[in-house]
Amino acid sequence: MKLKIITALIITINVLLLIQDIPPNIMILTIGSLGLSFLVSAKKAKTALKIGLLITGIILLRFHFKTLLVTECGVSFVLILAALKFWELDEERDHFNMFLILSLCECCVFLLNPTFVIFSFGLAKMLFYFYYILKMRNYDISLLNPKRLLLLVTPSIILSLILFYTFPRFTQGFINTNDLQYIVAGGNSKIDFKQLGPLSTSSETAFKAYGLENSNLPFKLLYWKTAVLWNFSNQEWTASNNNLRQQTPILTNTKLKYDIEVFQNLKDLMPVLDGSSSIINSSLNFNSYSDGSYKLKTISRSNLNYSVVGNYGDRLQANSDLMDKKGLRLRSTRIEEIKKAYFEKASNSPSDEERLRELISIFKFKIFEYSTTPPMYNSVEDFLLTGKSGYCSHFAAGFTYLARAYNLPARMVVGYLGGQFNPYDNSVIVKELDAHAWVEVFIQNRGWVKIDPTSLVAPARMNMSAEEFNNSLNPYISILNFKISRELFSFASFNDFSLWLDSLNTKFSTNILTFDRDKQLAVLRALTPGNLSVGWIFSLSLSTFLFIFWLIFYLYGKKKIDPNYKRYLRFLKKMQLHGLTKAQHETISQFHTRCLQELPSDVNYIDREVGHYINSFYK
Amino acid sequence: MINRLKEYFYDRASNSRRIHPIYILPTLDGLKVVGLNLILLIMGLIYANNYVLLFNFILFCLFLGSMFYTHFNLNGLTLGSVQFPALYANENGVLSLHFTSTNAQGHYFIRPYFKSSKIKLNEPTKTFPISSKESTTINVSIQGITRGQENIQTIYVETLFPFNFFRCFTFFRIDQNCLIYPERSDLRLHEEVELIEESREEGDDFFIREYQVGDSLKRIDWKKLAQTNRWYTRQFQTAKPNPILLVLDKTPMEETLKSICFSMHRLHQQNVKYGLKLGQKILISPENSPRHFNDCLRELARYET
Repeated sequence: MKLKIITALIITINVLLLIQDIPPNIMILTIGSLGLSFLVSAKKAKTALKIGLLITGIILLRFHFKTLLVTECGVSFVLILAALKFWELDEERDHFNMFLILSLCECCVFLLNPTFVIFSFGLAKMLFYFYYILKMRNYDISLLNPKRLLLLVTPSIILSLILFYTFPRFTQGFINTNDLQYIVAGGNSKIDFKQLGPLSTSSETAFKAYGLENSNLPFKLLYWKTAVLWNFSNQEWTASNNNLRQQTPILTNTKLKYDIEVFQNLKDLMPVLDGSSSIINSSLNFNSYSDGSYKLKTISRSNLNYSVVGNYGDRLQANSDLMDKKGLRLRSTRIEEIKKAYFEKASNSPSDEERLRELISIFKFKIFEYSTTPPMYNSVEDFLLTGKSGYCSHFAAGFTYLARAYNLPARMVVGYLGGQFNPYDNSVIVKELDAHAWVEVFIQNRGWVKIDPTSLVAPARMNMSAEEFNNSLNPYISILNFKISRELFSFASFNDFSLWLDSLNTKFSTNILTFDRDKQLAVLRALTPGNLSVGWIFSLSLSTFLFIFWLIFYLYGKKKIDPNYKRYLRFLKKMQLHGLTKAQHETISQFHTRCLQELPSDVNYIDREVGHYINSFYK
Repeated sequence: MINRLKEYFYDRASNSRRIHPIYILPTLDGLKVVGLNLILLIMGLIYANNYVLLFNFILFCLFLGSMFYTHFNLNGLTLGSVQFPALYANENGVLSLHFTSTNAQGHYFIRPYFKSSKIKLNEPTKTFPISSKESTTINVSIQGITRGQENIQTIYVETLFPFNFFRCFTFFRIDQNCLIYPERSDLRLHEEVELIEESREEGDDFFIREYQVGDSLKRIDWKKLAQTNRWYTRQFQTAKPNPILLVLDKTPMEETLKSICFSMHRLHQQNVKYGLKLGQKILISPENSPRHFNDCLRELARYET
């Protein structure tokens, strides 16, 4: 029973940790089946339940994520196996096999959610399970007392860290897990309208910005630009800004200087504060464009660090015929239908500003609704004609479409909105949940003007962080039909703690998660004399630690010899050098006599040593 | 497959005359951990995820550490002497193993084992702790399977402590002959021949009772008959039973041996002299002493047609 409670606790914590990634239906199923299993005692029924749960879980994930992804499967398996792991396992061997499977699944979770909390919890969980297996064996666990356990674990942990830092990294990874992730406004410089499913509510940190602590900027309203989408073809909005390359960006009146560290290995994403900006120092090569966006030349597998100078809110006014042409391009067969629905009563005003005002009023008063789980739309036209609920990407794409249809050059901008200041490491944390999309419209004499259609539909979004806004939309957490208010969890101290945890996570990320081949080479070259190759360093560290391991055990197992006996052994050794060996049948007195006969010159020494031996052991 | 290899290796090693070092090999669990380590390493490299790599290295280092620990746990152990009990087929006995150690920390979960077709260990998986003191005796419960003589050449000692990842083992040469006596069962299959000793019925220590039909003519008191004209029989007060010869001359041999063994014990306890005649070759004259008892048992154990 005690074990079942511990299991239930582990699963609950697991679920809470993965709450952002696991759809509620899967969670309910898992917890429900766990509860049910406490009641079901028949083995066949349990097995049927297990298989049913596994199949249903996978089908639901398939529907939820659209694409069957490795990591999602990993998570489902972890949850399901975590729920099942203590059932029907009678033998210690079964438990050990389950331990191995769970280790594999835990690693799948690390791939999906590479944070320090997940890692340390996973490690603790696995160690506990291992301890439990040891206990299950006939072993008396007290034999592995703290001293012995420390003797085994401490060198193991130190060695694992040394091996971790010296193990040659041949590659920087072949598959990027984030390629598999579904990110709404990710850095793919592309939005496929057909694929816009439920909004990702992952609160993983996308990137962190340093150096903004004294800028007095409203962090909740910061627009972070990552890509400008120009091209509309079929149902996709893509960047296609190859011709907009700007060789030497000129900045005037530079106010801000900040550093950015992108945690998620997004493919070509380089967020900068909306406004005029220039990247002055980057760990990777990039291209800069006249629309204010930046794109990496190579796909980054590691973390991305760079410094930016710029002005926030300062519009990029540069325009060209090419931009005009790109900003108006709209290839659609249903333009007339849209125009009829939206601009029937609109006056064909020559002024750009008036037309923009009309568009804004359409978005303000047309019945659009903000929803994190909108229905699926086949196209932008479908959304504009038949739908009403959506989120930033829907509104931005719709607004751009309407603006172009209304003969206003417009472009879609994707990036992030908001951020949270973390006083523990003076950073601004921007999460995946903050992903956002908005529009820039070109107005004569004013240049590219930023319009956020989401703010027109849901003005409250602007005053809240994405997390707060999301919570306000869903004020209750529902677990098994029980609605629990989110306010119960929103303590100031808890928030503080999470910020502290975030700074810790950053430290871990910098030192462990992002320790790649280049960093390794730099560190090892700096530490070792000459240009010793990483392979050699690894082999050396491995063999050194094997030797140290051996030495520890050798010293630990060495029996303490009685000093008197030690002295006696020394005496025997000395006599042996003179060719006198004590036979096994010989008593000490007999040997004494023989020594005196053979070595009359050392009488004193022999008498003293033999006397000491006899005094110590026979008197 | 693995079991076959184990058997092959065991037979080769245990029959060799060399002094064995300590061997250490990964167990099936250990091999599984190696497999998992490889998978995790590939996964960590492919996905370029350092947490997976770190988890992998921690597991790997615990694996390495346990290798040293397991070896350390057996290192310094010496088998001083072995004491085989008097063992009957299908009966339990206690085998005493006297170990000495040079390891200051002692030894844990040591499993002694030996292979024999005639003796088996009652709990082959039972493990024992051995302290670091001068000498430790461990008592292993064994059982005789079949009657006969067995030469145990080596005792195999292994440990899997602490994590079952490695099997560390060695062989101690003992070269001991062990006799397994027949099972004691009251089958009454053998023949018992009573050997009458003439001299035994001489002397004055008797009383007279009335003659009963069947009394030996030698015991009839003829003087009394002459005096009283009535039949009386002399009944000796200190009548010692006659020596008995236990004879094996028919099949089934094993069953008869069991029967003889039972009778031998009975007679030994009753302090009756007994002898042994096994077929045409072995004849032990009646006697009653512990040495005679052991001699007879040895013959019973070793007897072959």
